[in-house]
Amino acid sequence: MNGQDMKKLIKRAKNGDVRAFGEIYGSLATELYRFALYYMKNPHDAEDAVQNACIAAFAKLDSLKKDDSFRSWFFKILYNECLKIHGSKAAKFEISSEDVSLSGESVPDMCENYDVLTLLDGLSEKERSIVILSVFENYNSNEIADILGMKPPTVRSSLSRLLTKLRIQIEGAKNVQ
Amino acid sequence: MFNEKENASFIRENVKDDAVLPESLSRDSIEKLLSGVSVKKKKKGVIRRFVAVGVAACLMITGVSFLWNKGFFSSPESLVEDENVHNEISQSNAENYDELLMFIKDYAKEYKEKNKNYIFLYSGLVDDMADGSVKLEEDLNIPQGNTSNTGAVTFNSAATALGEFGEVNLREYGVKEADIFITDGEYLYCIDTYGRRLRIIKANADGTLESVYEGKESLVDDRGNGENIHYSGLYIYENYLIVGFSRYSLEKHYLKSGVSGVQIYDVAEKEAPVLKKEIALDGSYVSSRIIDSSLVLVTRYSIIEQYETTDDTDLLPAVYNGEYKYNVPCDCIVYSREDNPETYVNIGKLDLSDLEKSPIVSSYLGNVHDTYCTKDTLYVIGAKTKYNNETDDGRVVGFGGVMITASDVCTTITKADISGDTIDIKCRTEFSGSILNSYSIDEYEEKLRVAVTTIDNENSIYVFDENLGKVGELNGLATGEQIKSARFMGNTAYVVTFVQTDPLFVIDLSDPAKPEIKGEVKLPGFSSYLHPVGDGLLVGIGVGGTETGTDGSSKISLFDVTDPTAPKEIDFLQFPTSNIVTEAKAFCSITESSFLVTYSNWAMDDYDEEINSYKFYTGALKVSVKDNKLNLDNAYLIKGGESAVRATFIRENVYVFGDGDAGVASFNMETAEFIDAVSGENEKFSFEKATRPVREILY
Repeated sequence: MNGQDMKKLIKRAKNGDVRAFGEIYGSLATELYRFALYYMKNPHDAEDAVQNACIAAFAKLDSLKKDDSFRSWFFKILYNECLKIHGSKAAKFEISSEDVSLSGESVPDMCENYDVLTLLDGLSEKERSIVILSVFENYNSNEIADILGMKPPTVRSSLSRLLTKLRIQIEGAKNVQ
Repeated sequence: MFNEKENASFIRENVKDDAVLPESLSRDSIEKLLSGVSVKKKKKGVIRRFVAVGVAACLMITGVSFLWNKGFFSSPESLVEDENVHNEISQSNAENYDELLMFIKDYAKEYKEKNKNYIFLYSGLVDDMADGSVKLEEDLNIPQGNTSNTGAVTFNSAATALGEFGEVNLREYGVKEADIFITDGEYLYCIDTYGRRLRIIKANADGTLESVYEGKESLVDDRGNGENIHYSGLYIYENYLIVGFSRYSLEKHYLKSGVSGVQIYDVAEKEAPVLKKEIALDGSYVSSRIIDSSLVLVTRYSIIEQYETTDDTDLLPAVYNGEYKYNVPCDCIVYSREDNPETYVNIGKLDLSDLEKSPIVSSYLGNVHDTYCTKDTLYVIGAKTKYNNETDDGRVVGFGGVMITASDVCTTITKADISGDTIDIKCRTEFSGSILNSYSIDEYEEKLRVAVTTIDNENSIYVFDENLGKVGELNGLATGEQIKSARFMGNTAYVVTFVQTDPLFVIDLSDPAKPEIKGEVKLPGFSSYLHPVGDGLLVGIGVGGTETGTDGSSKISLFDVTDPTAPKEIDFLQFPTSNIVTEAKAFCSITESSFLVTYSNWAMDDYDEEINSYKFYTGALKVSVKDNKLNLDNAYLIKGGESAVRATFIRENVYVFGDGDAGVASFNMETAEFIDAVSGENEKFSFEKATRPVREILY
């Protein structure tokens, strides 16, 4: 979807056009779900987060400024929804093999393909978000900082540290085989 | 090492990523959801979830939309759109604090909501760990006060600036500044560059040195609890040693609160300074001045950390006079509803001739990173910055020793009248761009002149009237370059810009409405500091260069500016390096046409295993201007693990002061012979006689 089309759709959506919003959402849906899934670590909470984010976004399209990136704006909202759901959960997350099998298959062999959730396990919420947004959603550090409400230099230094660490982790797992 | 992009790709390639969008999140489903039709989900109860979502939506529509409209960053809102915005600020005549407190608390509520998982500390972040302890983010910036704007000046009226001993290099005549290394002609008073330890050293007539007093270091235990004190600069005033300081308490490395001000010690007995008075204001030390018998103090107080408080007085700036604490009177606090109530600038004035009197203090909501002070007026310089989400490309902007990456920056200047019995915050102006340091701003005949560089490297000179309304400007000065130094002298401004070569511009300001470039000269390298040496001559000290850029050396240039239309460089000296490039106080006038400047070079023949570095040949150069030439009269050099950052003299002796805690070394001014040294705590870094002849002082 090019910039012009996007602008038109946003304008229609701002006027309450659900189909226009749906079209924009459609172009981002998988990315949004992926972020929520890797962040929340289970599909049910991820669905909740995305649905809540859609409702919230649609409700306050007015706050989207003319030159803002719709994508980052939506991600910010999604991120906040994830925090809300996560915050309301008392118990820590446990990854059960049920949750992990996202597509119905059994857990893949770690040495060949390092599973995403294993990769992110052990990282704090913020660290997880930074990695997901950078590695899977291709955001740069300034965009990540905006979405997560952090300062770009902090993001940059965390990112540098985390990516190196994860890379070493994966290489280590590969070598074990 | 691999860069982020490579690492990210590697991770992506080696990780199985199979997130499959469930039906409940398809475009159709979402459209139905938004149209108010419930959607069945696989495992969770529909009704419970939908109600929760509905309630959440209502709350969000009201609360969150307001929050989002305020923008996402914790720093101030949109930057100035107009070229010049100025407003009169009327002194608040509030009878009580209620209105201000309500304004702050409303803002605090939305701020907390927006940033609920983060606690902002000054310019850093602290993460809440799952177990409730706090972990420090890597780039936490504990306020250290402003060591770049310190200096020491004596009040001994018999010695003038060109007298028996060195005085701190002043920005404005008659306005004394604090520094980390000062003398009164008999003793040397210094603070190590970490700001931890105060020291008094006797300077004997024969050049030998005796440490007579060493202060205690601050106390913070291994778990990050305790009180930390940081010393910023010194003054000698009559029999008092006045020390600028910041004190803050830490709990588990988490900054709890801080106050800054001055400690006034009676030093009749140099071995045993006696604390007579401590005056502080909330916040971190920005700067201070002594004008006649008044001491002016500026601090910056962030109240973001206090948003959680249940005690309203924590949201108001306080004054600490010895043991007494009281809030700045409400009619001395000034603010406008356009400001974000995140930081106060506190301005205090103390009468040094009567220490029993309480200081007078005024505060306003705003930001500050530097100050420029004349005998009657304080100009507070603050900046706002902005990050651009779209591009990952910010420029590194520096002001007042702070470097940050930004995609835009604007500067506010607030004018305060400090001449009377109250401090009157008068007016403010704002413009796009930043000013380099206090030499880039100057008041003359009621007009304020500033030299500005914008983020896009556009340079201008602005002239403002007494109400900070812009009355004149010169734009398009060396577009594409950055201002590296400026010096205003009466109706003339000398401005140095640089990208690959350095034009020195001579600008005529005799018509405030029409500043004009009179002449320029292009040179390799650039000057960071300009100093008049009489007779139409100007010395520029800075960085040397070639046609295409800098070459890593330092350079002293002599400019003949007698004909403003044709300034000329008539002589120069090149040498390895000096911290004069970033610190004007590394320069010390001896007479009107001779001076000391710090000097540093690597001792490539002496690699020290203990400090994992080559040692420095370092100290000071004495340069004089005679017959339109620069003469290197002498070089006072020792070897050390740190480089010299200050130099001064007392009669026939020259003294240099080292970075870190390296100590002090003395020399005979005439013969350049090394006489003595007093080392700091860590012997590894201290100064020692240069055992080999220094062959190449200059290039």
